[in-house]
Amino acid sequence: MRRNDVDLINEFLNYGYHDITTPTNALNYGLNIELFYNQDEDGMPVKPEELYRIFVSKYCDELFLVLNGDNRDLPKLCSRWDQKAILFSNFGSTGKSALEKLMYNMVQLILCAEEDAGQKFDRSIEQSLDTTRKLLLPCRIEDEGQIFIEESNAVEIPFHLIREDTIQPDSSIIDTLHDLMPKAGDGVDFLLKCQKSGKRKQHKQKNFDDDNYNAIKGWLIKDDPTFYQN
Amino acid sequence: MILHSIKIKNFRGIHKECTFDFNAPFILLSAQNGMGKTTVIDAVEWALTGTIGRLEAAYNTRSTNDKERRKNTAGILRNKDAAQGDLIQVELRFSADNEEFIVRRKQSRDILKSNESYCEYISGNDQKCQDLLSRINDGKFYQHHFCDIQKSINMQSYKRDEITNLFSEFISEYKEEECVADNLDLFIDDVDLRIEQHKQKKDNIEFQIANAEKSLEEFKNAPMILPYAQDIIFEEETTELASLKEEQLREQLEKLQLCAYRKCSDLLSVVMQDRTTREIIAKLEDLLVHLEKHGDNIREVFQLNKEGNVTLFLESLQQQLDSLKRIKINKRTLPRYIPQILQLSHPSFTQEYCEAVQQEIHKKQAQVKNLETDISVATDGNRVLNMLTDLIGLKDPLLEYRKQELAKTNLVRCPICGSPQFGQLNEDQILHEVRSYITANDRLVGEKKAAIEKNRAEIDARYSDLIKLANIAIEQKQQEYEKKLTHIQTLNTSCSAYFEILAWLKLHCTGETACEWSDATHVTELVKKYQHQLQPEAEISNNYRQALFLLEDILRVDLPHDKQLDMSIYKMAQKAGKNAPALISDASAEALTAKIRSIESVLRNQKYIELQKLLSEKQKELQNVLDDEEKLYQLKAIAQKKKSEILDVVRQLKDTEFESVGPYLRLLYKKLARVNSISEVHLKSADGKISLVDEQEKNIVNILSNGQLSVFVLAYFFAGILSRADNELCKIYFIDDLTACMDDVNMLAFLDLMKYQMLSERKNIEQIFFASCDYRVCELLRYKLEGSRIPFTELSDNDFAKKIDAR
Repeated sequence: MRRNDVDLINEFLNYGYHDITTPTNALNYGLNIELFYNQDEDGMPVKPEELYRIFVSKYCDELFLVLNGDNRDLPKLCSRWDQKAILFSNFGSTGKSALEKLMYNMVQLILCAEEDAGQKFDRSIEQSLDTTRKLLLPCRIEDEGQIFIEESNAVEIPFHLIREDTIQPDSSIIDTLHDLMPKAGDGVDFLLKCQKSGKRKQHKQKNFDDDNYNAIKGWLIKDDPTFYQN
Repeated sequence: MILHSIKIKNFRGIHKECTFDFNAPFILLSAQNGMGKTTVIDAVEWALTGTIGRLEAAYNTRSTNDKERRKNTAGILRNKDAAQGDLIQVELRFSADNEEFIVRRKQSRDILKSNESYCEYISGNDQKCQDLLSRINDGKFYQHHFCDIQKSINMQSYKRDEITNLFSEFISEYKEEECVADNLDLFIDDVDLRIEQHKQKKDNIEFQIANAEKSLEEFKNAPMILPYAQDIIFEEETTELASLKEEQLREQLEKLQLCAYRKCSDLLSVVMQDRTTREIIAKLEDLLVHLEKHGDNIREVFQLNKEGNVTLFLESLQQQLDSLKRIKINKRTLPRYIPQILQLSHPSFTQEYCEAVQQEIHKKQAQVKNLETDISVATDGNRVLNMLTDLIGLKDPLLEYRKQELAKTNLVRCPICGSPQFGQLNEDQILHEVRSYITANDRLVGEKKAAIEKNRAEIDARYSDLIKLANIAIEQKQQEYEKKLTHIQTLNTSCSAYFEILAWLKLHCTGETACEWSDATHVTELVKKYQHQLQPEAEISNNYRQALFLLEDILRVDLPHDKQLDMSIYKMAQKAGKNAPALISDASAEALTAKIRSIESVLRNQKYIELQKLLSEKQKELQNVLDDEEKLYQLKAIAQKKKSEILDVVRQLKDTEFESVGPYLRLLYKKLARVNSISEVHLKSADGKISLVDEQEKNIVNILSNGQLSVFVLAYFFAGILSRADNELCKIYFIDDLTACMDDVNMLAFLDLMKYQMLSERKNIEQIFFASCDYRVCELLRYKLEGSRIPFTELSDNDFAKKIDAR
């Protein structure tokens, strides 16, 4: 994992989403996600190859379908999954209110390899709001199945909150500044407030009385080994 | 901070009082245009700040002068149906820090001006509420809390400095750090001041060192101490100089110097006395010369005046002469001058002569007077007779008079002459008599006039004689006086030199009388007497030399260039010598000189040692000052370095922050805009102003469509909310119909962003007011809020309609 990368699965879990990829888990929330599954020759539900995960929000008002878009015809993929979503929004639960809550809050989160991001992707599919909202998300999938997304791309996940410290200055520079500034024990707190200045220079008057002058002097030479010592 | 409700009256779109309850973190204002959505939002802003940011800028732009302002005023705040004098009122109920407040803002004038309205604090702690509003109303409330279509439009027309101002909020303020840097500047000024003071101190010490060195140059080596004679001259004298302090030494030196002055005075006294005697002798000898030459004249002068002063005599004589010259004699002034002329004692103009002439004149004058009286009487009779004659010419009245008188009595007299014949004579006879009388009388008057003329001529002749004689007397006296005057003046001239010498001698020699001075024998005796008093020249010369030496070499008196000792120097020495202490023994000039020089040598020795000590101290002091100055320069360098470092780091931090603003905006924009035409956002800084550019450095506002621009404004709005979150007091935000030109995808992203922010535990937003006339947007938002269980209050068409009905 690279610095500032976001682990997608953890991101869902951290924001209170529940993994309902397996039908059993989904049933715990009164949802039948087999409608998103394929059927094998025996008519048994099989998880589609392109499906990574399905997440439902804390109050079951959002459904995220995490799909693998690599090497696939994205419009067709989106269209196919829109069909599945229509099916789900009609028959995905016995509770009609539960389906109504989800009906307009279904998102296809289509993962694409990072290096393909940008130029190759046809983001026009994101313009379609038919049945589901579509989001194309560049990512990097590790061998262990972990999905990592760069912070700059993670912002596209709707619930991902941008860190406020993004525009905070470098803490090391802040520390440097802190080191340069007087400390509480230096006895020069008055320097933090604007002192009267200006015309006194012309009148040959001192800006600081002797006590404050000596305090400033003490603060300045405290850590300066170059200062002439008798 | 949460808003609970608002009560509005006469404010913009609302006339009659209406109350709107909020009581939820999300307030959805879903109604058609014109129903009052924006009025409610404006009312909240006005209640909190006293202005409406959305309108203020436009209002001020439109109203470029007072006339325009008046035109643009109508209806800007007051509802159009409200009467002119109706108060505009908004009452806002809100809570902050678990305390509820109600503030009511009122305004009478329909003008948009922040200080025009006033607040009433209805509920809650007044001061706290006032402080709260004061903190909220930081002049940026609209910029930070509102996102509307106007901002989206304005974004395209912002100038570069407005853009700079717009994005400055993302940059941290380093007030304390900048303050420290400024104060270090002041400190550096103080250090400079101290350096300057040190330089002055250094100059002063160097000057003192130079002086000390110059003083030491006088001493080639340490001066020798001369011995002090053991004999005591005055009472308090100490012969053991080593036991004396400098002050005592100087005191003793001063006394010795006074003794030296007295010595000088004594020496010069003899010299001066001798000098005076010689002068007297010289004067007396001069006097003898004059006596021999002008002896008679001098004695004549003494006869005129015992003191030999003829000046007064001359003045008196001159006055008498002037008095005579002023006399002018004529017939009128003669009597007045006669006594004075008689005093001149002229042999012809005597008392007897004067009296005889005067008697004769008086007699003639009496005769003239008598004759004049006679003439007067005769002339008066003739005048009456002439008048009567004229009267007779008109004789009727006279005759009528006689007729009337005769009727009364037999005897009628002439009314003029009283003749009893008047009543008897006939008319012609009367006239004849009168004429005869007049003729005779005229002849008599003529004779008397001739007599008068004769007498007068004789009087004038007498006067003329007398005046002539008086003038002769005066003239002769004048000549006499002038002659005398000339003589005395000659005397005075010939004797003046004598009397000048005599005047000097009288001052210096006493006991001689005036007559003795005119006696050559006596004067010769005086010469001998004074010659006898003369001192030997060698003694006088020695005294003079000693006095000169003491004054010049020992007492260091400034003498004239010719080194001649005159009376003023003698007087000065005499005066100073009077303060000399009482002497035990009379010290010679040499003894005094030796003692004075001895003390001076001790003092010089002490001075030499002190100068050496002073020089050493000042050199050390100078070194200390130089060391201190060096330290001050170092301190100044440290302060400058510290200041530069602080400012450099602050600059670096600001630069970093500025650089990060663009990418931060890009993140938010990326989250909101599904079709993305910009892949990078940068704030490019130049000339202290910034531009908003994409990855190709093209101005972003030129690239984006209106819909994208709305999204970008939203991204900017949320970036501000998130960056200020930690310090924001009022986390309430207003979004007014911004979705109008956004497509569904972007709008959906935006609604989700709001939803997730409301759900976030970070609580960056405490309350949102979302106004829209788009029913699809409102329905979707309502659906999402319900689904995510975010409490919300909706003010729909129905709610606004109810208020409309109520009004």
